Formats: sequence, structure tokens, C-alpha cells
Amino acid sequence: MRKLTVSALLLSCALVLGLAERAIPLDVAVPGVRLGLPNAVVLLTLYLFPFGQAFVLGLLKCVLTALLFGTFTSFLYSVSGFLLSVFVMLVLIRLAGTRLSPVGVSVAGAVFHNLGQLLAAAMVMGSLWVFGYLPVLLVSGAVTGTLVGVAVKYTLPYMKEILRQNAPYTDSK
Amino acid sequence: MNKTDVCLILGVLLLAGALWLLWPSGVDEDALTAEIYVAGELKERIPLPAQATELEIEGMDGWNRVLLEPDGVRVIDADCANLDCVHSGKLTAAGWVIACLPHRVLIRLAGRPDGEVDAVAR
Repeated sequence: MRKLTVSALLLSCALVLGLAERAIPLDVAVPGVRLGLPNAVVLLTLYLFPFGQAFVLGLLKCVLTALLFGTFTSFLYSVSGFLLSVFVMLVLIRLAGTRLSPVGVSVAGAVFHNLGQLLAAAMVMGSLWVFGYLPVLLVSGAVTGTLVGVAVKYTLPYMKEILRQNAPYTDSK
Repeated sequence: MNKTDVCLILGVLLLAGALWLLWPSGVDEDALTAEIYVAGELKERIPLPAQATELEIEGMDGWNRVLLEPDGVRVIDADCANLDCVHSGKLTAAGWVIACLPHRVLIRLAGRPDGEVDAVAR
């Protein structure tokens, strides 16, 4: 199978999940609270591929989602959240190894994604008062992170098997 | 899910609880003041009126229409597509904020104007 095919499939999964999750309204008090399903794809990619793959995947997801469905503002916040969360998840996976399951990594990813967005908001608004949202975002990060993490934990073995079956991976046809 | 995961999740929840309790909020419920910031600068500081009053705020790249009521403040209209600020609901207690990110408008309720510690960074 071509590497490009795998990358494209992962990216499209992330995009579709990002669009579909908008049908599930979680933003009761704070606008913009989401399940974070695309992060499941990013996290799976972090486990199964070199870091660069996940990094580019996430960036492209942010760019394309903003171009297709969002605004420059939404891009700014999603990219801030992504950058912070992807590096945190990378470090946790490398440092903690088996001590931390995908659930924990996902929770950390979700929390730091929210934190990254909050930091961006604070800089744009020029005010620290937005951090009043931090407790709510921490809790929602813990909850959504757990849900996504459980999904990743149980999907991982199947993904590994699928990847194994479609080896070898080439750069051209 | 192993022990480390549970510890992490609990730690996050505890942190959230601690921040919630420690976050500076209004001192005097009877004298709530609405503070409106645009791009970090305090533009309006209005004690909640006895009668509902509308106020139009000029943010960056747009406007927001704010309704000040005796028991709280909320945004009733804006010229952006999402209207997240309108969906944020009504602020009735000090400490919460309504934010309009595209216009860089931030509305919060503070306690008595002279009793509040300001913590806005620049």
C-alpha cells in the first residue's frame, strides 16, 4: 500500500470526525466544548507512526477544517490547542511508556488542547480573565479525554493488525 | 486503565475544583458591576441598573449589543456568524465572563468598584 494512501485515509477520518462531532452539543455553559474525536486519530497516529506523521496530520486537519468549515479565528484557536497538546502527548508516550495507557495520554492531550486555546484567547483578548473558564475546561478535558482515550485504547490493536496486513508500504505505485 | 491514569484524571479534577474555589469573584452581591473590556482595555464599568438597559459595544471588527439587567448581564446580539456570546447566557454571579473572541470583547461581573482586586495583565 502507498504511504500516501494511509496518510490520506487518516486525515480524512480526522476531518469527518471533526465535522460529525459538531452534531453532539456539549457547549451548555462554554461555547466550543467538543468531544475532540479527531484527537483519537492524532493519538493513534502518535502510537503507530513517527512523530512527524502525527504532527503534519494534526496541522493539516486544523488548516482544512478551518478552510472548509471555520474561520481564521477558529483556526487560530484550534492550532494553538493542537500544538500544545500534540507535544505533551508525544512526551508522555515517550517518557511514561506502558505506565500510562492511552486513556491518560488522551486526557492530558485534551486538557492541554483546552489550555492552549485558553492561552491563545488570553493573548488575543489581552486579558487574563478568560482563565475563569479553566475549571470547566479542565473537567470537560478530563471527561472527553477519557472517552476518546478508551476508544483509542481498544482501537489500537485492530489498527496494528490492519497496518501489518497491508505492509509493505511504498512511496510510489 | 491503570493507576497512573486514574491519578492523572483525579489530579486534573482536583485542580479544577481548587481553581474554582480560589478564583477571585465578587465580594458584595448587592453591588455587582459589569466591566467590559475590548482588547484588554477597560472600556465600560457600569453598576447593574435598576431597569434593563441596552448598550452597544464597539469591539475590534464588529459590535455586540449588551443588555444590563438588575440581576445580571448578557449579550443579545452581535454582528458575527456564530453568536457564541449570545449563547453564553447571562452572567449573574461575579467571576464568570462572557467572551467574544472575534471582536476581542470580554464582559465580567465584579464586586463593588472599590472593593475588587484587579488582576488584568498586559
